[in-house]
Amino acid sequence: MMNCDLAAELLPWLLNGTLEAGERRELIEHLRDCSACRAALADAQVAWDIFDWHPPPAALVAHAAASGAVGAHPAIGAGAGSVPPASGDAAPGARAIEDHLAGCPKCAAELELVRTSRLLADPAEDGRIAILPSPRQEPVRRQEPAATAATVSTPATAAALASAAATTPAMATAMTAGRPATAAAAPTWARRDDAAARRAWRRSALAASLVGLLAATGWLESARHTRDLERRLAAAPASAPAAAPASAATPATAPPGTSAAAAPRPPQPRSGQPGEAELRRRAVAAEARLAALANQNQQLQQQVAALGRTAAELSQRSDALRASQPSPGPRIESDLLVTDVQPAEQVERGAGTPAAAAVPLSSGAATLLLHTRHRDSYPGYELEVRDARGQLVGKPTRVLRAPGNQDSFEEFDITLGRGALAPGAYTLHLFGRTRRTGESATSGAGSGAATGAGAGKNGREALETYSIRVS
Amino acid sequence: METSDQEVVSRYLQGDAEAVGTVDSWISRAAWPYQRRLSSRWEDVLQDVRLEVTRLLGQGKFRGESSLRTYLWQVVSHTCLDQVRAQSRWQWTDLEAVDEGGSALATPVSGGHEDRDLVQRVLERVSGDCRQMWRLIAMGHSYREMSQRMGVAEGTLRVRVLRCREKAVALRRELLSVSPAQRRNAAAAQSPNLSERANDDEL
Repeated sequence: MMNCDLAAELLPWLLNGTLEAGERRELIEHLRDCSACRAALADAQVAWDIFDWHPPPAALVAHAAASGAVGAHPAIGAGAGSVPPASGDAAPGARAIEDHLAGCPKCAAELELVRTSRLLADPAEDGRIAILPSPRQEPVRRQEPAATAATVSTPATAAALASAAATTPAMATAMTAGRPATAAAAPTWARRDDAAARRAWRRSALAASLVGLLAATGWLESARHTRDLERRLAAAPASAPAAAPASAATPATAPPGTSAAAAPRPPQPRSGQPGEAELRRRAVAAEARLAALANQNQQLQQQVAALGRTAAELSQRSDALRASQPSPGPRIESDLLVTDVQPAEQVERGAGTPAAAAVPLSSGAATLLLHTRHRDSYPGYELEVRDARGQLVGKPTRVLRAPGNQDSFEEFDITLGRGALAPGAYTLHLFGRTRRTGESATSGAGSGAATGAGAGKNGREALETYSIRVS
Repeated sequence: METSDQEVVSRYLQGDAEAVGTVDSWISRAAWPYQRRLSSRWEDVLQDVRLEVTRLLGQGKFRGESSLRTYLWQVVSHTCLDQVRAQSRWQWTDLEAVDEGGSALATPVSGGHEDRDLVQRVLERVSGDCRQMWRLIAMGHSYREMSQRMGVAEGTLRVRVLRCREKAVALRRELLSVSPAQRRNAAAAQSPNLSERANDDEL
């Protein structure tokens, strides 16, 4: 049970709320039953009001203005709007306030606020002090009801209040000092931007937290791995002597007179690492593989050289053949278009005279396979190309006979270059020479191959006639 | 007073947008340091300042002894400091259970101008240790914290605080027995008081 003495002592801390729960409960129960202690509680409240006294705001404001005039803040009082001493007792009151401020941090903080406010209110500081924007952009929404609820006496004052309410303080404070104030009202997008900025800040904070978490995890893992490696490294020398008997051959090669312990011991292979013999075996295998590859490379180079020589020889032979050829008549080219041309007199069963073979020479060369039924062979062959009027257009110099297929027995190949013949109808006359070039007519008369019925006086025999239409 | 200040006041009272913007920018700039302390109430306090400025200017309280901007700074500072102190004032909620008899508990004593003089007179007569101990109490320290901080036993501390309380109350009763005019004269003769009357004429 709490007595009156203890209750009277505890009353100040009942007022500031720092008593423990049990003490406070007992004290309150005691105060309910003790009128003397309730009177003491009233005295404690009186004492509280006395000791918790602070200079009124007006005194702090006057002190700030007066201290600025004596140089505490050089900017204060320097401008045109400096504050004159408000009353004659400002200087003596300043001493009392200074005494109070020396032991009251709360009032000192308040005085600092007043001084800062005075500094911002000084016109001389307008161009030198900028105020950051307010973090909250909600003044318009909060001001409008207050402005409309204001009790004003004149319409002009009401208009002034409405305009003042429409002016955004946040925007006004956001201005750099010295710029004229604008009455532009803050639109609603300012609040949206503020909300978006908060959301962006939260996302950034979340991302930074995740990155930090990952970095911390990585750091911990790295530290754990480092400790593990250090532990294994520390354990390695201890395991080396245990592995020494397994490599007993090495101490046997040590010079005489040196003990096995004193002899330089080769590094012992650790578990999972190759030994010296293994390394040597791998080196020998690698050298053998390298030698084989070098041998193979040499062989390939020899083959390349042989192929080069063959190509050069073939090129020389090709040049020799090209040089030995006579001057070309009609160009004979090998081309993709191959056309079978049947003799004009050939009559197939169920078929009439074959139409003239169409040979398109406008788009490219064409190879004509001139089929013949003659099996007699001649020392040489000639071919004459005549137009529709029977005039000789060309006469290929080299007409070779090639083995034919089953239907035509024999065939002659002739290639006409692109544009070699003008478009039109032509006839090709194939002749078999009964004697070689430069051979006299009499010497060849007795040869069996030239005994055909059609042998003419020019030493040639007409074999076939072909009709073509060049387009 | 500068002519421009009188023009600004006149145009402000007529609702001129430019003058209103100028005055409002001065008010906002002067009130900016209190924004952090007043937190969410800052805008409301700012609106109170605007209303007070409009009322004072409309009643012709601004006599031009200082510039208009300085006058506005004084209004802003008074209003904001009052609000800051109102936020940090103690609330003795536990005393409701004790105050069954309708006594004068939880009633401030320093409400009027004369009480401020009385308080000053009392404080001038108590010791600095008393003011320091009670200041720590008002700051919210427990007696255990105070005993550790001051290096005295808890019982000793509680008794000292009790003696200080008794002395302050006794001084107050003694001074209350003297008439207010005598107290003020005595205060002016012995120790000039604080200048809380500095701008009362204007504000």
